[in-house]
Amino acid sequence: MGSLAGNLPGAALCCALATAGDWLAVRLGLPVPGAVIGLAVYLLWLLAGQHVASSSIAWSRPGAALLLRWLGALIVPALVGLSAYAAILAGALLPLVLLLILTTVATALVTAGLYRLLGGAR
Amino acid sequence: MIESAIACAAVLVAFALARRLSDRFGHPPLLSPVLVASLMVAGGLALLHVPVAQFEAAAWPLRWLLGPALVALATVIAGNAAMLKGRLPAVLGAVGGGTAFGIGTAVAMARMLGLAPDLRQALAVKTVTSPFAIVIMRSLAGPVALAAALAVLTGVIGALTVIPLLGRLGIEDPITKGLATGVSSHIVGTEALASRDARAGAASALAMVLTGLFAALLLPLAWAAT
Repeated sequence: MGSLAGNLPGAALCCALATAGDWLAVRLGLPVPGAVIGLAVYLLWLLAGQHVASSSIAWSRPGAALLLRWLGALIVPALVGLSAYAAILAGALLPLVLLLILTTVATALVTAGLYRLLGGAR
Repeated sequence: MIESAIACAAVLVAFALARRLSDRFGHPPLLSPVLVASLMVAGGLALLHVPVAQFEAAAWPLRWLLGPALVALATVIAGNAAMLKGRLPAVLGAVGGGTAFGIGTAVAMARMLGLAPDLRQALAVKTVTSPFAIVIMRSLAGPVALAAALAVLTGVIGALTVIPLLGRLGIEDPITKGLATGVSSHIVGTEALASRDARAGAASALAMVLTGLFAALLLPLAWAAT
C-alpha cells in the first residue's frame, strides 16, 4: 500500500485522461467510449517513455496500479443492477449457458489457431 | 452525500472481504471476488430493504471511477510490450480475429436461438472484460448490468473449460495459451492461468486489454446487426 502522495499523481492523471476522452468523444461525436481514447493516449505516452527518457511518466504507475487493484469493486454497482433482468435471464437460462460455453471454447481455439497460422508460435 | 459514502464504503469493504476469501482458497474461478462481492451487496440490500435503484444512484462515485481505472489498463499493455517484440503482427492478428469471431458467433447464435434483444446486445460484449463491456454498453446505450454479468460469467466458464482444454490439446507455448485465454475468458481466466504460469498469465492479461480495445472499435460498426 503506497502513500497518498505516491498514488495521487497517477490516479489524477487517469481521471484527467478519462475526462478529456469523454469530452472529446462527445465533442467530435465519436462512437468510441471516452475512457478508451484516454487509455490509448496513456498507452502511447507510456510506450514513448520507454524509449525517450525525457517523456517518462513512471511517476504515474503507483496511482494506476491502485486503480487497477480496486477495478473489481468498480464493477460491483453494475452487477447489483442485474436483478432488473432476472425474468429475461430465468426464461433463457439453458440456451444462454450453452451459448456461452460453446462460443467461449470456440473463440479460444480460433485465437490459438490464428496465432499459429500467423507464425507466432515457434 | 452520506448515502454515497455509505454505498461506496459498503462495496469496497465487500470487495476487500471477497478478495481475502478468494486468496484463502487459491483463487477458484467460482469465488471470483467481483461475483462474491456483488452477491454480498445484493444480499445486504435485500436484508435492509434498500431498493436497488437507490443503491445504484448512491454508488455514482464508483461508477465514475470505472473510466479512470480503464485508462490505467494501459499499464498492462505497456508493461508487457517486450513480449510483443518480433511477434506483433501475429499477436494483433490472433487477438483481432479472435475478438471478431467471439462477437460474431455470440450474436449469430443468439439470433439463431431467438433470444430477447437485450440479451443479444449484452452477448455482443461477452468476450470483453467487464470494465470494457460496461463502458462500451454505456456509450452504445445498451443493457449495462446484463452485459457486465454475462462478461463475468463468460470468464468463469472460460476458466473452467478453456484452460483444461488447452492442456488436453497439448498446447504448451505459454503465449498461445495466454492469448487464447485472454481473448475468450478475460479476467477470471487470466487470474486462473497466472496462478499456474506467470508468462502465460502476462500474455493473457495483454490479450484481454487488446480485446477490449478491438471490441470498442469494432462494436459501434456492428451494433446495428445485434
